[in-house]
Amino acid sequence: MRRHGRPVLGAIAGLFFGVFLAFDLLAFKAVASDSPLLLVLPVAMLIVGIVLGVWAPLRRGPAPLAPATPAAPTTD
Amino acid sequence: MRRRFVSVAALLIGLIGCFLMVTAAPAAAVFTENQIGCQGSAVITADDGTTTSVDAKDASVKLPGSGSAKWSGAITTTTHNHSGEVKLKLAVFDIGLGSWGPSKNAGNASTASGTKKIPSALKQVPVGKYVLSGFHRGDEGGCAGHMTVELDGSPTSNAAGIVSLAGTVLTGALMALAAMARAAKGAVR
Repeated sequence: MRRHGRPVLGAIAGLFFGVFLAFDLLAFKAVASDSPLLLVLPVAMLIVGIVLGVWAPLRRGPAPLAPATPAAPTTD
Repeated sequence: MRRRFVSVAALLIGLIGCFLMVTAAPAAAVFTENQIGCQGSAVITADDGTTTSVDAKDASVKLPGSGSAKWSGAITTTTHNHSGEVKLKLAVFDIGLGSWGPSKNAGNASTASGTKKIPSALKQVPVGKYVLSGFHRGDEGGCAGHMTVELDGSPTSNAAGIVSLAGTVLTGALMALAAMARAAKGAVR
């Protein structure tokens, strides 16, 4: 069975992650306001978000084991 | 799962780092053209009384969040029918901050000066390095250049900085959630 994540959530979260990350880089003076990175990051993160959502590389932990059903008594 | 998450995060950080190294440019004030001998200077007085002197040729300027600036400008060749503009460069866009002219300059003025209070709205602008560009052009020629203005303060000194940091953490967590495989319908465990 093919695994899949949440591409729509990934796209929206990626876009905003890129916008906020761009603001952080500006606020921490890592880039100046004329850097094209401020425009590239949101677009790049939008694509990364979609890819991560489709690819779904992170696995959830193993599902809890179902309680063992007692064996039916055998009558001989 | 943690190892995969770390590798994906490391890949993203590496890509951003490479891009930063490639696109990083030194902060500098540059006259891209100056046929008419444009000069300018300012003395910025912060609210706490500290003063900063700025010249148009300075590499970068540190601007306090509040205070006032006493500025003066001059041109060695008097221009007529002139105009000019100062713009903020944001990514690939230019945002106009102020303009003057067109003016005939019938009085042959070659100097201007004044005092400008730093707008209080500047306190809410995220700290950072902002690139300003400007020009002055008339019949006799013109000058143009750009300068890096550094807004002083901590990244978390205003609401915009705090919201930005919190937003990064929240949307980063949402991206991790989106990258998490969900159980397919009808899957047999």
